[in-house]
Amino acid sequence: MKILSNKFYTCFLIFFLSFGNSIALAETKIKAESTASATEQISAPKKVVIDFQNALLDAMKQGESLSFQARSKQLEAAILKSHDVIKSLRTIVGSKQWKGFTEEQRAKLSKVFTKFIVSTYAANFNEFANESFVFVSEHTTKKGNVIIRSIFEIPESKRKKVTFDYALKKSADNWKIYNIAADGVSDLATRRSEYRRILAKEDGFNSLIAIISKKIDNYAK
Amino acid sequence: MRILFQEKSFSSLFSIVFIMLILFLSGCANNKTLETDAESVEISEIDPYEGFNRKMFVFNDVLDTYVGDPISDAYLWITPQFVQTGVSNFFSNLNGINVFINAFMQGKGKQGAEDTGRFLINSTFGMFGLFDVATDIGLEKHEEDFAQTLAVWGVPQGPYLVLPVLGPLTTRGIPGGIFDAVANPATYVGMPIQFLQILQVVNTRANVDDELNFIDEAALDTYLFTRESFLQYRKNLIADGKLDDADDLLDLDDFDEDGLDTSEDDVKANIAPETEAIENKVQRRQQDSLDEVVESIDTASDRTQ
Repeated sequence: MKILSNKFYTCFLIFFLSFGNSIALAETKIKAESTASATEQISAPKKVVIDFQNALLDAMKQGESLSFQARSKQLEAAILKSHDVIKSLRTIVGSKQWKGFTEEQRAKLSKVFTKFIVSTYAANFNEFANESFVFVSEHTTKKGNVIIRSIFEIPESKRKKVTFDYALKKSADNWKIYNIAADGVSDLATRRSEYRRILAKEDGFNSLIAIISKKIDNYAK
Repeated sequence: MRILFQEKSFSSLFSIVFIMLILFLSGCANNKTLETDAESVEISEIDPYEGFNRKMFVFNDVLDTYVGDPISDAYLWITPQFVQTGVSNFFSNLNGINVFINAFMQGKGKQGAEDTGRFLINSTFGMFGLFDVATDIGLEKHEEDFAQTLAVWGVPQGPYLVLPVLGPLTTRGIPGGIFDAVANPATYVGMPIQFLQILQVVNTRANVDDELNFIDEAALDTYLFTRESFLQYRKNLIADGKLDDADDLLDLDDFDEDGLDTSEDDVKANIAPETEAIENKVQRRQQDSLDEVVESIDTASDRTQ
């Protein structure tokens, strides 16, 4: 009886092993095909994302040698080149709110917001442990926007993976990133509820500026 | 994010908390207006108990600052990386049973077979799950739980709740969490090695150390940041991360330079198709996975012949 059950168990295991392997093989095949076609032509939005990711990896590799300020400066150029920060901001606060702002307020909020985004990157992408971005897919939405999906792989012992979806919109000169989702968590949606809540309070504009400035100072420490 | 937002594994503590909660919620069900600072703020439909939730959130935060964080830091400091990895793998593998059960219940035949294979391989060749050898041979880890299965079955998500100690979930996560606990062998570990369960809690907390620090630094309102991230993360898990044509990642296109304000309409217009799209997705997937099951049964019978 015991032998029988052992035998059954082995069969079961072999079945799953072979099953698993065939799946794995199929997957590598698909991967190989997608990379083969990817090298043939890189679309404009994909290039924007890849250039930005390379800039991030560069900053990470220089993590030890660069100060926070220097890294911020380096990343700011890369972010402004690839992101439509102002469009993101307008979507976050809502057009009604945005139009309610004076010219001066808009300029002030844009400046602080951009600095906040840059600081967040500079503070979090500050060391390199063989991480990499792997392109997964490019997808055109009904509205004609493009979503580039890639996986941020953290090797070493942790084996973490984060799926990044970059949403790009074509502006006058080029494709620009307006939103990023990490594992399905959209940056704009999260910020939208935070910013709108703060703005809805009394003296909302000033407190929003104050809260963001505090966050920036905290990153710079 | 991954581990941070899994529906929590429940212990016996759960029943007490649950009863407390029912008592509390029935007490405050009538009181739906929320007052923060001077003004009353528009309440999100998904979060009608924001007042209660915020209190629990603060409670959890304080508890974490004085208990969770120091213990987690100590754990990370005294245990070498390979031990931490082993412990994580071990508990992740025990949870593997629940993962494949739920994969099958959602009709994902192929994935369920893979997940079963993962569990068997890691439990044997992986030394009771201490080593994740299955990933090395190409069997990727999946995130499934009963709350996701309920979502696929069409059970509505219900309001967002923050429970003391257990953290964020939606009401769908309550039966979800109970099922997950029942399907997890760690729940049945007896008194002599109850240490194991404490270890599991500490390890789970330690695993999300980076994420919690990130939220603390990046969030303007940690409560809202956590809520939005949690809800979106769960939605993404239910859809298995799939995108479709309707998915614009929030391009509201709401800005009209000439001054025509279309934002509110657009927001509303965007939300409805979104939910519809998810429903379609779920239906489509159920059909797809049904096909997969049939296919996998076919291949299986081919092999045996």
